[in-house]
Amino acid sequence: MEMFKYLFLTLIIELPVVLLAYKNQWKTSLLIGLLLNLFSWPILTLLYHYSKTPLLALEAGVFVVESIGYAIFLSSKWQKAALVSFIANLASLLIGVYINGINLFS
Amino acid sequence: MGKRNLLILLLCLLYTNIMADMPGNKPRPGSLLHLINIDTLKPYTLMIQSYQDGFFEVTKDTDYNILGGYGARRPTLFFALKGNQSTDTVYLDADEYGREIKINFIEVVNNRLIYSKEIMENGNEKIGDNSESNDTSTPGGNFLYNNIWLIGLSFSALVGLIVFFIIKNRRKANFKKVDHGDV
Repeated sequence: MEMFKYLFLTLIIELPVVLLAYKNQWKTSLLIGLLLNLFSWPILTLLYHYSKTPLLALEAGVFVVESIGYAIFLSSKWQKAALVSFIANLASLLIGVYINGINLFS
Repeated sequence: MGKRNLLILLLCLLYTNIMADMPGNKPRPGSLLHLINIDTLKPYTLMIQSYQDGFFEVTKDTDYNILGGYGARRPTLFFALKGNQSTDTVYLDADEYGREIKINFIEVVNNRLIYSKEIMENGNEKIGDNSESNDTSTPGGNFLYNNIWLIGLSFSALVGLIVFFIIKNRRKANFKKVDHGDV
């Protein structure tokens, strides 16, 4: 279960971003942020390890899915949802790349 | 007793009746792995992850005993690590559990672990090596088994999101009814 440490890292990086952005509905945003990451992270991990899809493309997919999720479930404007998803996923991607020494463009 | 409580009670009874017919766990034999020529992986270090011993490194040729027990197999996997870089992960195939297997490490090429396996049974029966294979990390039929946690987690989260969506819409609909005086 070593891989779940990466899930934990993803959550501690992304959830604060979501909480800050949706302060006025923090309980709901915490739940939705958690569920969206628990939904998207395993799919990203499986596709990363078992397919030849580049990591950047996978992260772009996660960004889109989470943007839609935040917009629908938090009744947020599309622009805000996209910005929150972008910042959260960029932060987790950069930290993950640094920790694992991954070359994003290989 | 309300309808909802009755439904919950019926579901619990249904569940217990189903569980009453479940057979017990099947005995699961142990396996013995002979890990040889680990030196050829240098500067990578061989890492093993197993249910019984967790995550540990192997620095010299060794015999590793996977304990038997009852119930579903606990996956044993291994890969090589150099700093922050790791090779692909190798899992034992379903038919390799409960056997004595010799795993002969050859080298690491382009971050892929190259090795050969032999099942030790009435003399050496060579399975073959993976040096010409393009995909070493995924025993084809074990994809679902080896990734059941990930798939289950994602599916459960999706169910949670759907439930949240339904509850949110119902509350909106009820709120609109109250707002229009339709109690």
